[in-house]
Amino acid sequence: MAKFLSPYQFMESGKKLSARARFFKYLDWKLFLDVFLLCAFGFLMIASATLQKGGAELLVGKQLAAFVIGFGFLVFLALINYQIFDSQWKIILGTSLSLLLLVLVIGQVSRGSKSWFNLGVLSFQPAELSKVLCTLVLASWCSKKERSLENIRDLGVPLLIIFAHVFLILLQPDFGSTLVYFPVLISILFVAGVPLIYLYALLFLGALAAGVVLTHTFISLSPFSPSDGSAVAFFYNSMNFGKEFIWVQCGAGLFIWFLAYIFRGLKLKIPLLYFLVAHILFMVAWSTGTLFVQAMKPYQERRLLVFFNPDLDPMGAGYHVIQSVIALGSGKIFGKGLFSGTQGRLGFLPEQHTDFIYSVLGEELGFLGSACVLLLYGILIWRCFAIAMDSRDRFGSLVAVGIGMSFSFYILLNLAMSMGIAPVTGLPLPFISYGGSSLISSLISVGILLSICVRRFTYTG
Amino acid sequence: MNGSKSQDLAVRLKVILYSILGCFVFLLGRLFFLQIIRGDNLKKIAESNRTTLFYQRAPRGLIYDRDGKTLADNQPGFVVFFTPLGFKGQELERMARTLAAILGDKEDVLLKRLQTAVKNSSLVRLVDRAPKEIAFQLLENQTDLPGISVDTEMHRRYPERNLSAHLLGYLGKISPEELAKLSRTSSRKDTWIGKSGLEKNYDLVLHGEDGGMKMEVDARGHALRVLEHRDPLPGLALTTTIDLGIQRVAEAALLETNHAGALCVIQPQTGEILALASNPSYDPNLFMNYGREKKEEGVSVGELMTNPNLPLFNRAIQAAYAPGSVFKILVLLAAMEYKKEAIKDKEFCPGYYWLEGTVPKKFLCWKKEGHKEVHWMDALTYSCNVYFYKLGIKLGPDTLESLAKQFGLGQTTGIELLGERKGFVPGRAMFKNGKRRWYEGDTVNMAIGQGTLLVTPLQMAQFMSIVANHGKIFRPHIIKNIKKPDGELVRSMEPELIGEVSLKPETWLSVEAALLQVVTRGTGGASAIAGVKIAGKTGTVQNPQGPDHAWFVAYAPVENPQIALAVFVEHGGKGSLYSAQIAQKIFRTALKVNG
Repeated sequence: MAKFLSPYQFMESGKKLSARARFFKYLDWKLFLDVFLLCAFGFLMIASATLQKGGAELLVGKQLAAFVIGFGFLVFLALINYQIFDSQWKIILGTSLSLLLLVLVIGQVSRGSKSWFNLGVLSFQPAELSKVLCTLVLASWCSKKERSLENIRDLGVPLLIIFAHVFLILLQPDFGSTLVYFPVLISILFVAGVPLIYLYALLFLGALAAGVVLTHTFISLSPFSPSDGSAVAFFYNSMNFGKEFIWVQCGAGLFIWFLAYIFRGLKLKIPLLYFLVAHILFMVAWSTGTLFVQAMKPYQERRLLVFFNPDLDPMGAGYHVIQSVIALGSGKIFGKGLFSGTQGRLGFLPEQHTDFIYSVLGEELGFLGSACVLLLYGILIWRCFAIAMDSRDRFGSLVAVGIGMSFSFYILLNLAMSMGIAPVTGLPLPFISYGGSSLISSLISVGILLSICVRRFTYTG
Repeated sequence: MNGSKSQDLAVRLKVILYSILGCFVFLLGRLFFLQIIRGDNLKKIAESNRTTLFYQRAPRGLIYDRDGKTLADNQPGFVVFFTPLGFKGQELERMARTLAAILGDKEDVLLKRLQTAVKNSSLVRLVDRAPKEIAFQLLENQTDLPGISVDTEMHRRYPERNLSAHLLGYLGKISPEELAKLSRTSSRKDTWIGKSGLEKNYDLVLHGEDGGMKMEVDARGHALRVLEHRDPLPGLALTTTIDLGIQRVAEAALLETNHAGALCVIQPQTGEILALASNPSYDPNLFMNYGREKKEEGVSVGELMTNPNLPLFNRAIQAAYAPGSVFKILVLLAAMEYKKEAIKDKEFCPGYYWLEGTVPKKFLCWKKEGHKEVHWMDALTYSCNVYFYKLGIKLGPDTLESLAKQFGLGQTTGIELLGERKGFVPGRAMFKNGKRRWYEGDTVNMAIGQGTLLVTPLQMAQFMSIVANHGKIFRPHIIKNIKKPDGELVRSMEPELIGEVSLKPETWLSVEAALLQVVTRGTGGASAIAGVKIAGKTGTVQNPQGPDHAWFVAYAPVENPQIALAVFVEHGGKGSLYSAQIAQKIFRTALKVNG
């Protein structure tokens, strides 16, 4: 069990090298520099994107303040031993969930979502921090229960942790922020060595839940009228917590147990547990999908649909995607020059300093600039997994994997959205998009990574 | 740590890392595709996103008569623009409703236009030539109509309205086919071009060069700055050879007859056309408000197009008729020149002529009782058919055909107007592959200008002008010169001698003497003016549609011809009735004689 070490104690604990010298020697400078460059790109682009609107100084100033705070956390976390999170996972879990609960009570409503703590000058989004905290908790649980992860009952705890988070965030409601939990969970479980069959079950669950959401969206915006008594209407209503929802649940259950009866009759020895699992999976997936449908706002549904056909609404939701692709492509090789992008500057790009900042970057700095940023992100992900590989314990590995997966998910989804090949989810681009909470939580993640890296050869607590 | 476990962990880590890096490579590829392969294309789109073009139409060139009197000019008119300024759906619908009420257009059509404007964030001309009332109504409701602006622009005007309408032509919006055909760079969907007359034929000259502004706009449609500005270049001015005074008299006289008709007045010594008229006429100003004509004016463009009297049809150059007795001038010229011996001082006209052959046929003279004993001069003076039947037979069709062609019949005259008809000169060749051969009956018909012979009023005027010139052929033309708006001469059209019908001087003189007699004591008496020697000839064309058509061709003064003309009145009865009277009025005006 690791015990808490103050930074000074840590520095004194060095043996061959002085603690300070060892810290600087083993620090992952590549990662550190990489993150620093990404942040620099971020400041430049935020300044450029907000220049026309006015208030660029204020926004860049706020971002700078967030950076300073985040950097403070980064240094602090790099200095302390990360293993403290392993031992104190219950406290972390408690903190994470209470923050999410608290925001539902005293949070500030902005754009119809209760997702923010108002701290005077700055506001803070607890979901951003919970993402990191949840990663730590999951990694802790999975690293300890190493040998029993093949037991299906031990998987229930991580699932429960995830669903608690997702549920609370959906209550805000903030659809976009919940998405990242699933890849993080699956990647941690995968690396922790969970049998693939469980992951398949999880993927099935995810696919069914997503299928429910997509089908509902498709029907609600398609020419079928969901009000008549047709089968389409039946399914549509079953995704809307009505009496049809109960019918579908019961019907599917009956079908599964009917199958079990048939198989028994055929003398095929399939454990009843499997049917039970199938039944539970279906129920959970269908309910989760329905829950998401309830949490999604009309504009989110529209965005989802527009992704499949941007011409559906070229002035509305599809407009963002189209303009983003135009902005990005019009940069060509060398770009239009910093502060000279027309798409961003003249307001054709929506959310140009947050969600679509990469399009501004691509327009102004061209292929060279945007490929350079892509490379920096590649290095970031590579360092995450390298640290996971080199970590001296399983907890460190799983934390690094979770963090790497979380970064990857945000980066890939945001970039793909900017390039017009993913739906508009409103996810920020780590280190570059404007947003204090996102920047701070990203820097916190990096701090934890640095801490894991620095201690890769240390076997003492 | 367990070895196999850690190895397993490393494998699983690599699986995730490589899949993620694979996604990165894919994104890099997409980036390459967008920025390098499609870069130029998308840059163009971004450029059109950022700029909006605001066209300023060039004022069309003016058109003058020979003395500088205005035939077509421009006057300021109202144009309604719509600048899209970041509109919402419901707002546009409300606006479309208000606009529809004011403009009287269909609401859904308007809404679609507004929506396209918003979509392309481009300025749109909603109404091209708005009446005053609409402009004022829009200005009054401007608070309810954001983005709607009313501006002024120079619009074509024809101050003389119906006068010389056929000659000038009218304007219309460019059709998609015309747009595709025109290579002029400034052509756009809302360009107005000449649709007929000089406006059409000289569109390139008259149009000028549109100017405009290229403005940078933001996503909300606000113009931020002017990137490029070019002043419109007005079109060049045309000075025509038309004499407005003669034209006015000619049109009034034609209108008075209450018949369809046409006339053409040429100055023989230059080929300049002094008047070109066709009746019924129309007001080309109507086309400027096409679709928005005022009800009280009573006539709409649609009515003009469907009117059975074809007011848009320029009969002076587009209608071909049989020349009738007018053609006898040519027959007489041919006989004088090539078969003097055939011309007898006395020929008996019993009122009919038997053409012998396998099936004998009787051809009548217009005077049933006959002209009895006729001298060759009286034959023309009183237009005796029988005399000319006989003359025709003696001359044969080939001589007539060849001489007619020398006078330019059966060919376009080359006047600067589109749609000119060639007419037709019959001859033996026309039956080369036909069912029957040329027979003498055809010659007989041809000798009095009937049958398949067809000429336009312009051709007849040109014919008279050649006779007046004793054979010299000048190209008939309408354009005197082309000038820049500041008066600098660009091109000047000089009289052009394009050929000569060479006949002996005494031939010309004898026929001229006969033509003089036509007016002094013959069928053309109605055109006579005391103190002016007028050479003329009437013509009457039988036709199955109704009363005879009336021709009158003439030139004067004979000693120094100033005017040659051809007047044609559809179903005007005998040529002496209307046509000669019209000719008299024209001579009076043109030669400035009273009485």
